[in-house]
Amino acid sequence: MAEKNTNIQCVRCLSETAYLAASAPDGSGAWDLYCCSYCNYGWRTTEGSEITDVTKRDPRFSVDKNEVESVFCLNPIPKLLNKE
Amino acid sequence: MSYKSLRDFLSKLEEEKLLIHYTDPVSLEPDVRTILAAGMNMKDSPAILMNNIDGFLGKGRIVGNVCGSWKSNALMLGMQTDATVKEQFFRMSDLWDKYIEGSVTYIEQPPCQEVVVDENINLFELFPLHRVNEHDGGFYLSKGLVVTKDIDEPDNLAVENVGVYRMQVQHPDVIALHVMPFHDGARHIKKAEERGEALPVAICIGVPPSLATMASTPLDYNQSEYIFTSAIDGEPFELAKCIGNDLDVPAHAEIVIEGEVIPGKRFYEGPFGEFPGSYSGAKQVFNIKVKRVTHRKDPIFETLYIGRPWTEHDTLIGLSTSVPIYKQLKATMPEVKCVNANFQHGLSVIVATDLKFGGYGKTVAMRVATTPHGISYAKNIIIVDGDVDPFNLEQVIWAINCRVRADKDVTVIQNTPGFQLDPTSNPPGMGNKLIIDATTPEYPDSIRPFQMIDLLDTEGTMQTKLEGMLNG
Repeated sequence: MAEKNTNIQCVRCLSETAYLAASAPDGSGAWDLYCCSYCNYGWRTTEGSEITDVTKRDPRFSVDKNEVESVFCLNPIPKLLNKE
Repeated sequence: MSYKSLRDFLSKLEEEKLLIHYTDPVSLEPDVRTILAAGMNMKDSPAILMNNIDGFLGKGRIVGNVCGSWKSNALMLGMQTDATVKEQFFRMSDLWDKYIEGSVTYIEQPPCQEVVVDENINLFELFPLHRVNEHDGGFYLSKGLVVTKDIDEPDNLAVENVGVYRMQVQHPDVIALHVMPFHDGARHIKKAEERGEALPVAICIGVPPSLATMASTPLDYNQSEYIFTSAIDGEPFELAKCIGNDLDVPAHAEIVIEGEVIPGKRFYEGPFGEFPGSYSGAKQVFNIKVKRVTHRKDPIFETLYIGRPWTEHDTLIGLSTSVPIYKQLKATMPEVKCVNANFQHGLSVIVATDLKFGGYGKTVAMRVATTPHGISYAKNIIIVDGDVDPFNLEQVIWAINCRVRADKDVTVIQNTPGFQLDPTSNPPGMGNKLIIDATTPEYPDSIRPFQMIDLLDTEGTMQTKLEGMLNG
């Protein structure tokens, strides 16, 4: 399993909360894969610059940090029933 | 003929020349999605098996488009590949009535548990996950079946649910689960969550095509997908127990991921390219913490390309959307002859029906709009006469052209439930119903008298003879 380093900038939300999550399992070094702990985005190093390069990403798919907490909740958290 | 496993079905597809072995090097992005989308554009949309994947050499295979064509679908239903879509519709309708004959059996040491991984789980390194569409929020399981139980009825197989939901692998052992509140899986999770409990879940990948079809079908809450699959296959469906929980999973699945839904928390997920051909927005959804992974030796990772139609998703859920609506209509309106809800999961529904009296076509349409699926999905409802084939769009357009009086036969019901993934649904979840009654007016309604031209060769005898001449 890849070593975890959490100080990498996420290419989508720009938080410094991304980490190296995986590497090519055949040992070829073909790619590494990063995940963001904040917005849960993931990207592979072999993807195009429109994915991996912050300056070339389509702004329509960028994520504002504030949006992560306020976005629509598909299944609202229910109240706990009484233990009784 | 039934298929116990995905591998059995792939063998059949190969025999029928409906499987391509893609041996050239494949990058996970963008090659996988490009290859599968191109395959869907081919005549007969063959399945494609890729075994030369960047970073997974000797360690991973991907297959897609398994249920991509009507020929594949016919084989799944035990029919010949030349069966028409309408014939497949009625075959599935007949099998629907055989539910009571279905059964399951359990086997020890199932193939799905040949390999067990229960520590240092990293899904990104175990399986060739890939970005399905360029601007997806991550790496999705696009054809995973989610198994859950009702915590109050753990021994009741009928209410154990198997559903195909969208899932994003967000971290090496964490999966986001996007399940609509009205789906049975969400009901199970909610009940456990109200008690502060983590609900066990199993995700199955690479299953027999009949199970993938039934898991995509909106069944009643107390109808078992496994029993229905057995009814299609004509023999008991083989199950196994998970290692770490009491859930039942298909014994011949390629991959089973065991985990628990984390209660009381939600997590950011999306966007994801969906079946309307557009990206859904991001949402807060459930997360699953993975506890264990089991799989067959040399597992085949099954995926599904979803995007602008026509994709495997459209074929997979076409008849499994049409048949339940047909059954629900037929129960109280026996004049209904056939239903085609094959397009975009039933956003448009075409119904062929005989008439009882003036305005009956419109009444059938309103019934469509109140079926469980139709409430939110069916936004365009077209009603045609019983002798019009709703699977023949040339006939449907003819009926619209030559029967519809715009001032009397077109109705819009405003501000009804809508389907939130439909980009025209605004606000998401709200919409309008368009009803086009293209039936011939019946007394006391009327139209100026005209004489119909008789249909020729209605039994197809001459057509069969001509086809015989053409094929020697």
